[in-house]
Amino acid sequence: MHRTLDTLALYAICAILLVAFWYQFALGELPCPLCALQRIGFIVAGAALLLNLRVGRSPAHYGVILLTAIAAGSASLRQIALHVIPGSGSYGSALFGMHFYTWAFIGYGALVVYVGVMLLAGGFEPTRERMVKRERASTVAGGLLVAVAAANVVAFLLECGAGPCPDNPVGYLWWPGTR
Amino acid sequence: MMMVLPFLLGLLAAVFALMRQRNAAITVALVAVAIQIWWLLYHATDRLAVSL
Repeated sequence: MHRTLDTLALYAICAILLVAFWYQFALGELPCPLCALQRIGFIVAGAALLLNLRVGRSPAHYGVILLTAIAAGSASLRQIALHVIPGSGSYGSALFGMHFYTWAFIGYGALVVYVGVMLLAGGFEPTRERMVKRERASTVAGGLLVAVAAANVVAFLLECGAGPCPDNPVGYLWWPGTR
Repeated sequence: MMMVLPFLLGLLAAVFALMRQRNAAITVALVAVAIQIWWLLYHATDRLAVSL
């Protein structure tokens, strides 16, 4: 049951990152620096969930999820605060009536609740038995996460080059013809 | 510092997790979180129009 939930959570994180990718490349919405920080949080949380699937559940893995959820959730809260006053504009388009930074904040809140429930549920394997058999589900989910993370590395290299991203990006720094 | 660095570390953490390298994955993930916080402080420069 725990493994199934962790696998589903990992697929949900991959889906979130893929939707963000769709908006970036199909709809041409360039991610801002705060948007990037929110994406990183999902990738790190995904890596911690993948650890649960590959070496067994551990409170330390959930601790990593909590830390990155608080860090990335702070970035989304900061972006919400920038646009909280009516008429102060927004960044990017909305999905089901809310912008992506608001969805990200909800997502990180949900992750914190998920971690709390999973820690309360207990059932952590003893250290000796942490090594679990290779399972196709974790390999597929892990492979998907690695692919999405690698695509993000390439995408942000193209957008920002070897420095910080501009606050309001208008094109890809290392992709000729897009600026 | 490169904006892509925490993405690279996130990718490395995922690869280490896939390879069952637990300590390496956790270490790299925590470094990614630290850089994530550093970048947040770097970019959080605009004054907020809210009363805190």
